[in-house]
Parts: sequence; C-alpha cells; structure tokens
Amino acid sequence: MTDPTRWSLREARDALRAGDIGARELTQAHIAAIEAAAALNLFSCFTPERALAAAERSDARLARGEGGALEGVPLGVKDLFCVEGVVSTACSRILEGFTPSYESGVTERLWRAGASLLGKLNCDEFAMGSSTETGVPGAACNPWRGTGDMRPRSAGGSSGGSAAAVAAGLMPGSLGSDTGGSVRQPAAFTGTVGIKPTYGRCSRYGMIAYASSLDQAGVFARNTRDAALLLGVVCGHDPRDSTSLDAPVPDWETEMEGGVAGMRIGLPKEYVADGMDAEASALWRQAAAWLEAAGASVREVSLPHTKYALPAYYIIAPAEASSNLARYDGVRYGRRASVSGEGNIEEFYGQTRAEGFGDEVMRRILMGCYVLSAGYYEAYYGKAQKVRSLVARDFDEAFEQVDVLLAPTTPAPAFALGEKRRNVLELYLEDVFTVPVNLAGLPALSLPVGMSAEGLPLGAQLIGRHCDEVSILRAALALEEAAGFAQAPHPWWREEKQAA
Amino acid sequence: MTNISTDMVRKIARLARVSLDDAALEGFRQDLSGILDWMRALEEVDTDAVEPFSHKGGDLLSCAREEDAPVSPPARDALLANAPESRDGCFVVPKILE
Repeated sequence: MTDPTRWSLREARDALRAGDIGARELTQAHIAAIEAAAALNLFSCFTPERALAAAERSDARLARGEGGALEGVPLGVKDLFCVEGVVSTACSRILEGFTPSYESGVTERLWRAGASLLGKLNCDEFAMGSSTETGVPGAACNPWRGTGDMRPRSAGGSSGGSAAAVAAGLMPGSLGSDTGGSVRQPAAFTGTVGIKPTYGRCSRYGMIAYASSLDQAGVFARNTRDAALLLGVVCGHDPRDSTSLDAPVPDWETEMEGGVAGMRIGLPKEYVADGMDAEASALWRQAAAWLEAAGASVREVSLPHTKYALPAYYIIAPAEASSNLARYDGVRYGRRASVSGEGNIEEFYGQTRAEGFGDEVMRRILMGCYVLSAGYYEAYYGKAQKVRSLVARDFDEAFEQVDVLLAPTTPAPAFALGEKRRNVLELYLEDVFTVPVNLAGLPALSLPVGMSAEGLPLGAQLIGRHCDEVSILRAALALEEAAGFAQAPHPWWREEKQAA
Repeated sequence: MTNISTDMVRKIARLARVSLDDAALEGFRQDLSGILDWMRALEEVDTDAVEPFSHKGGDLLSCAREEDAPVSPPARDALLANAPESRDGCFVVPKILE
C-alpha cells in the first residue's frame, strides 16, 4: 500500500468507503506523521486521543455502510475556531486555557460529515499577520526550503499552520480563515490550494473575531477537487451569524467539471507591485496562456483603485479589531493580570490587556481606536469605507467584461523566517494582491502553478463574481491540469529528527 | 510626515484600556506615525459622491428573520468554568464602587 499520508482527501475518503483502510489506521498514520514533524511547529494543540476515538466511531459507521461525506477523514483546524472541549486561544496569551462550551458553525459541519480533529493549528495571534510568527507557539515553519538553502521559510499567514500541515502530509485538508489574504497567501507559500469563498458563505459563529466585515473561513487541500469537496461541507446558512448568506450551496464537486471553453479571463493590469519577482510575473502570463489553450479568452482589465485597497484595509480591519477585542477583559475567560482584588478596575483591565496581547495585536488595537476616535473618524474610517466602495465598484465593472480574474497571489515566494519582522509596513505589503478581494467580499482561491528558480512554490490567484465559486473552480481545474504541479516538499524534518 | 504626539498615544491607550510604559508608548507612537503617513495616499481619492461600503445582500431587509423561539443558553456552570475567578455563581471583579 502507498503511504496513506500522501493520499488526496478524495483518495482517503474512497479507500475508507471501499474498506481498503480503516479510519483508525488512517488516523494513526497521520498521528505518526505529525509526531515526526514537531520541528515544523504547526500545532497549538494536538488532539490524537480525540481523533482516535472519533475514528473508532467512524469505523463502526463505515462497517454498517453509513457515514457522511468525510467519514473517517482526520483533519485540522486553525486555532481560530471554537471547538467544544478543546482549548481554543487564537494563539493569544489573553485566551490562555479558554475551553469553549460550544462548537463553531463550520467545525460542527465537519464533525457532522464524519471528519475528526487531529488538532488546532498554529496561526498569527488573532489572525493578525502574514507570517505565522506572532502566536504563542512561535513561528510555524514552511515544509519547503530553497534548493541548497537551509534557512527556514515562512509558511505565510495568518493560517500558516493549516497550509503547512497539508503541504507536509500531516493531514489531507484543513480549515483556515481569510480576512486580508490569510488563506490564499499561505497556500501560495506552501504549494497548496486555498479557497476563500464569498463573504457570508461560511458561518462566523464560533470563529474568534478579528474584523467581522472581512473575516471568512476557508479551506486548504493538496488539489482543487479536494478543496471543493471540503468547501462544500463547511459552507451553508447559519441563523446564528447575522451576516450568513441565505443562499443555496451549489454542488461544486459536480459543477466544477464544466471546463473553461468560452470563459472570459481578465488580467488586472494594476496587479504589478514594486519589486515584484520576475518569475512570479512570468508565471502569471504563462497561466493566462494555459487558460487560453484550454479554450478561454484572455484580456487585460483595469481595477484603478487597487493601490488604495491596502491602506483602506489597514484602517478598516484595525477599527473592527479594536471593537471586537474590547471583550477581552480578564473577567469572563482567559488570562487576568495579578493586580485583581485591590487596585481600581481601569488598572485591572489595562494590566490584563497589556500582558495578554502581543505587539502586532496591540498596534492594531491602538490604530483602530485612533481612527475611530472623535475628530478622526471621518478622515480615516469614513474615508476608508468610501474607498472600499470604489474598490468593490472596480470589480463590478471588470466583471461586466470578464467572468474570472487571474492575478498573482503574492509578489514573491516564501520569505525566510524573521526576514520581514523588522519593518511593520513591509509585512503589510505582503497582502497587496489579496486584500482587495476581502474588501469587496468576493470568492477567490490560490493554487500552485510552478516553482521559482530557488525551488519554492509560486501561486496563481483566481477571483470570481459574488457567489460564483463555480467559475473559479473550473478555471483552477484547467490551470491545475496544465501546470501539472505534483511536487511535495522533501521531508527533511523527518531525517533531521532521525539524525538527532 | 504625520506625527502623532505622545499625549495622543497615551489617550488612545487609555481608551483601549491598555497600560503601556513610556518606552512602549514611544515605540507605538513611531509605528503609528509611519503607518498613518502611508495611509495619506487615500487623500488623493475623490470620494465626494461615494457612499460608504455595505455588503451585497447585507441590507436589513434581506437579513434572516427567525421566529422568536426560546432556546436554552449554555449552563451557568459551563460558562463560569472559563472565568479566571468566580464565587457563588458570579464572576469576581475588583471593587468598582468606593
């Protein structure tokens, strides 16, 4: 038998249904792979006993010919989703030890479909970051390294743990979240497929909030069909989230097979960053040529407000964050400063929050407070919300001419860990190609389409109309077939463990 | 250069209920000044005739309307189990009234 940790999600599902492997055996293989990958630091909480107990229940159901769409498949979720009875901290000190008494909307759907939880995955604190370095577990490590270059690379962020765990073969799929690119950028850095659906497709109930008008759950897998399967399981209306879309979820697994003949692809001419990697740029053109060869037509389009999306985002997201994170007061859950009992309440809050939040979260809370404060609200927040309308309008106008937009996901492949920590703005610029989509609430995905000369994966991004995930999945499938990206990272972390 | 004053950072830190020492205040003052400077690019955009953004399908009329039906909230003890300090079924906080 081939190594089951390299099976795709659908291969695993089919092998379980056919009885070629039991859920317990499949789960144990993944637990062993995770234990051998401690050097990658991808977990904030590892739950092997829970996964094995669920696997036994799945084996019983499978033996009776029953079970859901993901029966017996072990998965992981970003440590941003509340899982009942499992410590859920958003990788923040301020939520130390928090054990939810309820289940998030998207994870509820996973378990109902028969999937099990291998653990909660490392992310930037409260999903604020683009490198998965700022959380309590410390930096997550990308399983990919450059050719002849031993420096550990960033897995991207903020869902870096979720992306890297799938790339390293520790699980066939995982959940992340994408507020400004936090699914698509790590997918590009790790050679995985990452999808952020239309805003409102996935329930935000029980997803620890960062910026509520932008936050959206997303999925990672090692190919497009797997990602579509997982997406179909987690999407759907949830009355507990007032922004949840009350729209039917299409049968993506079937509808994605329609091909791209006659599809109109747009290349946004503004998606060229200063200092953009020549390889990333060349690969973008190559991807357009592949889609054309598959029967699509390609033209250039303009999204004139693109360069204003990033500064608008870094006003709106911190504003919402400063409001959402006001709930962490050391009273009802999480960490509390030791000044309690004596002292005044304001000092108690101030100490609790100063000890609990890391620098980047603090920076965004302060920025958010500033742009919302009296005298500055209109100049910053009000202005940014109007610019956001213009960014969204650009997309509406482009989608009158084309069906799908094709763009790079990131300006360059994965950077070395620590490289961008010195300059705050430099890390913000990582999101330049991903943020506009969040501002407009559109569906988008990233898939690997090639390798850089230094041996690191490069991603292409596909952006669709509101609620039109089908078109981006069809285009992704055509690109996936043309690009033939089948590489897996060399498992150096296992060899170094054996050598140690 | 957008320069925000130390007093301003002290004021927003107080609004945000975070206790920061002078060195931390100065660090954040520099960071915020740099970021605000970068955000000034937005001033170029003419937004006079533009409405602030709202999500498609996000208007009040299309919001899901549920029947009012009572649901069971989580048990009190389950919620208190996460509290750093609780007593007699209540959260414990520092004295608020003098």
